Amino acid sequence: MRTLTAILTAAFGLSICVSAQPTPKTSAFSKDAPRDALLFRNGDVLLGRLASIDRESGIRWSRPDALNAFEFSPDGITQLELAPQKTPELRPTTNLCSVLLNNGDQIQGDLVSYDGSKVTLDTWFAGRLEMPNSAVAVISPLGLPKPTLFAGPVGMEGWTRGKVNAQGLTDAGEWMYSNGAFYALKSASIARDLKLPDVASIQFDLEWRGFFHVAVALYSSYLHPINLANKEGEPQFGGFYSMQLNPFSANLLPVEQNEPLRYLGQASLQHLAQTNAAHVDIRVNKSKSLIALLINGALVKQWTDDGFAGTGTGVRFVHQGQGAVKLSNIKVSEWDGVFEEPAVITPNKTQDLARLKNGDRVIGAVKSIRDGKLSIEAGGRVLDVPITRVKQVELMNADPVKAKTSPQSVRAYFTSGTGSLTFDLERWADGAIAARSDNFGFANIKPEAFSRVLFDLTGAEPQPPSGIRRAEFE
Amino acid sequence: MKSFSLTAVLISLALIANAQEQSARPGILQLTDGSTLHGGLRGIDSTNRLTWGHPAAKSSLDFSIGNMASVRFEDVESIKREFTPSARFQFKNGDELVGNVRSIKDNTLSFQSWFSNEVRAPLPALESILFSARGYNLLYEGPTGTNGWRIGRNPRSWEYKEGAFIANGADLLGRDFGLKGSSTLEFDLAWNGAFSLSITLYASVIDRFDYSSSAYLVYLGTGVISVQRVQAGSGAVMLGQTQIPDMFRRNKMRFEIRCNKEDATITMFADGKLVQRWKDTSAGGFVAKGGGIVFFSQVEGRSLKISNLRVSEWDGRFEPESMTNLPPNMDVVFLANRDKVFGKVLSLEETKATVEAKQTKLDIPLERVTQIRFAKSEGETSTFPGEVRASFPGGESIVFTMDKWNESQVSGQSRTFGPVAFDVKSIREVQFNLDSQERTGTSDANNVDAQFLEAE
Repeated sequence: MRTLTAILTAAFGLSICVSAQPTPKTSAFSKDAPRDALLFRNGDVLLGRLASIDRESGIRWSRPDALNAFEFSPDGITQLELAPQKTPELRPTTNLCSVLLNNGDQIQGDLVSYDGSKVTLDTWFAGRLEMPNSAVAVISPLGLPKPTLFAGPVGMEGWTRGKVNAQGLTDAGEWMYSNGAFYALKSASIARDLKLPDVASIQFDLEWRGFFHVAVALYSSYLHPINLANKEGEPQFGGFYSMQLNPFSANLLPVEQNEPLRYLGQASLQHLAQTNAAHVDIRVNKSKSLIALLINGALVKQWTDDGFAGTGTGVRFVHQGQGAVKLSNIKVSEWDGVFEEPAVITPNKTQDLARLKNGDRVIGAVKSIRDGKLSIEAGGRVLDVPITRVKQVELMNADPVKAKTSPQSVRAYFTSGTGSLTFDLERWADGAIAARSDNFGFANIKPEAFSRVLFDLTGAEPQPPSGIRRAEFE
Repeated sequence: MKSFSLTAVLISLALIANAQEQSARPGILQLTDGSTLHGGLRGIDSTNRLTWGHPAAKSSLDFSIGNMASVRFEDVESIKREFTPSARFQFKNGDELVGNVRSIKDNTLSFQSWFSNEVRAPLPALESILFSARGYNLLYEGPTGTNGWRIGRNPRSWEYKEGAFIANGADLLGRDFGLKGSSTLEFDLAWNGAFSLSITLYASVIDRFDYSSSAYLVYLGTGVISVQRVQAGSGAVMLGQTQIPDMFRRNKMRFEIRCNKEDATITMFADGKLVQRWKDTSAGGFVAKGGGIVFFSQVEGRSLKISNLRVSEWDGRFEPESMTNLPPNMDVVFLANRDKVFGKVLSLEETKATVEAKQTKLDIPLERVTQIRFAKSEGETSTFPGEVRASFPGGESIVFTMDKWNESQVSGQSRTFGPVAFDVKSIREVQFNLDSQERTGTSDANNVDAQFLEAE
């Protein structure tokens, strides 16, 4: 029986329980099944599935091994993390805007109009939201959305696992997939042709335990790891850039066969030594031979090369044998070549302020934004400016309103990684969130819009995106 | 009258609910998927339903124990013995008990333990017996609070929380354990990113660094350990340094430091594996004279956590190196003079061991024996489905199949010892589903994501 159990377990991952006593029937856990996570005020974590939230029952939670309905009071919960779900691609429209509210919330959607008193935004997750201008701080046109070329991982399919055979690395392992992430505990390589565009943003969340040393091969045409110490002995691999990351520094080097290795320079990442996670964003502009590294949204370093060494469109992640490493939320998109600037709010302004992409500023009274055009009255006349030329519009609020929070208030962070929405959570059930706020009134919101929800808003500041949390003493 | 009855019923219900609350024994529940819940165990019924009380739950949470990893209790009652144990019994399935040998005969071990005056076990289940000339004396087990500890300059730099000390800044934490002879120090260490921890052993001063008194300093950083001798008037001398590569891919480990005063050696184990043994070859031998241990976190910020701390007296007679390269098919008797006798242990009495070695029967006085390592056998070493491991203060543990767990007692069936029953208050931790944890291991993809969960 034991042998059979072992064989079945090894072959099919089955969990077989044989007990002298009857065991209540429960479903087995699947390592690949996406799971939500409930984070408690006392530091506890409970995985499972959110069933519903309402005022009477609180948070109802399900798990395969739960023998009764689990109901929690939201008072004891700090955060709900939601398993990744597919979200629709944004429609290609020049009206795509980001609206920054006075309470720090940031919402993306198609700007339908601004009529001097309210902003109307059409969103995929909540339909039309109308926000009074007293709630709005900044409107930033985003231009055409950059299509996401890859988002994952969702499994091992399409990825090539390679064996790391570097000298001195006798303890080779493999990347493993579980619950939307790759994990490696030993030296390991995984690669995929992600069809990197010529101007690209390659983003991922990196978490580690202990130390870590990961090399990211960019624009590679070869999907197996290359031993840099013996690269001339490797099969033909073309050229690529190797971004080498550890908790203290980042190095970039172009790697080409029959060419000496060149280090393009080192960037210090000292602050990573005291944490366990980071959001990595690598920006590349092939025509300018420019590669930039952003950690947690901040530009760390830009490198420029003489010519571009990459010959392919693939990416390879190589765990260099140190640390337990988790790789998730890998996202590749086109990049417009411009580094984003955070929305600027001018203090003590007495009028509305429009900042244009050419650097001009127009101070006056915004009359309307509609039909792809900003109308602003300045110096006694009304100027019409195409929205495509506008960088951001700051609305002057004599009496800016921050929506009040109540014990039912939550702050939900968008799956896109940009922005959040604060609202009173009336009900979360049957694939819809009934939300109410002084900022937008009532809305039915699709839960897949959010990756996590913060419950305890007492003194809570907007948190970093999901995955960029400091894991403490797991 | 009707109103009175309703009130009485409501009061009764409230009292019952309150009683249920009170009956929950505080602890931490770990599930196999990495979930962690504080709260209290309310019971495990005959259908393997584990009922857990959680402060944020509106009612008790009922789990099937099929996905339970462990319950660790906040408080535990010390084991009461009316004798001084002189032997530690290690079994092939991981069971570990201390007690006194009564006999080995007819392929059966009989010994005295805290839970039974005569425990019997089949000899093939036994892996080794370690004898202590001075008896097994636990000096400290905890932490359970900051009482008895001295914190350096900033009282908030070390914080006690739920069975652990957390370093919030660069400062020291010391205690006088009254160390006199050889000793062992064991603790779990968890860390965030880069950390640096120094441990002063046999310190005379526990509230500051005092280079004018002699001690040994163990420096522990991410992946590296070094040992220094600090001698009054002579300064510090490095005894050696080595690496612990496993630390580079981990955020927590269990460490054990064995100090042998007679041999002037310090031996370090990490997760049960020997890291290195350092010998102080100076003419004075073991220079440290104090009885305290001081932990000093040298990094600002919340960098490390120490828990499951245990300090014990040790007779220094067990030498870890001697366990390697032994013939697996013979019993090995280790003697106090470092000799070894290979053969078969025929019998053991309270005063002597009879060993058949090369067709010769030897009667060896038990006082000369430090350890007996028994031959490997076909005896079962793995755990079965449904078995749990209960751990007790002092590092003792037993694997058994649980029959029932109520407020006062847990009982079940051990494959080694037969029927067993314990006072639940003496159980520090119970681990479930041992067979599945053995199967998957910690590095398997089934559990790898659990290592990245955020739980304190």
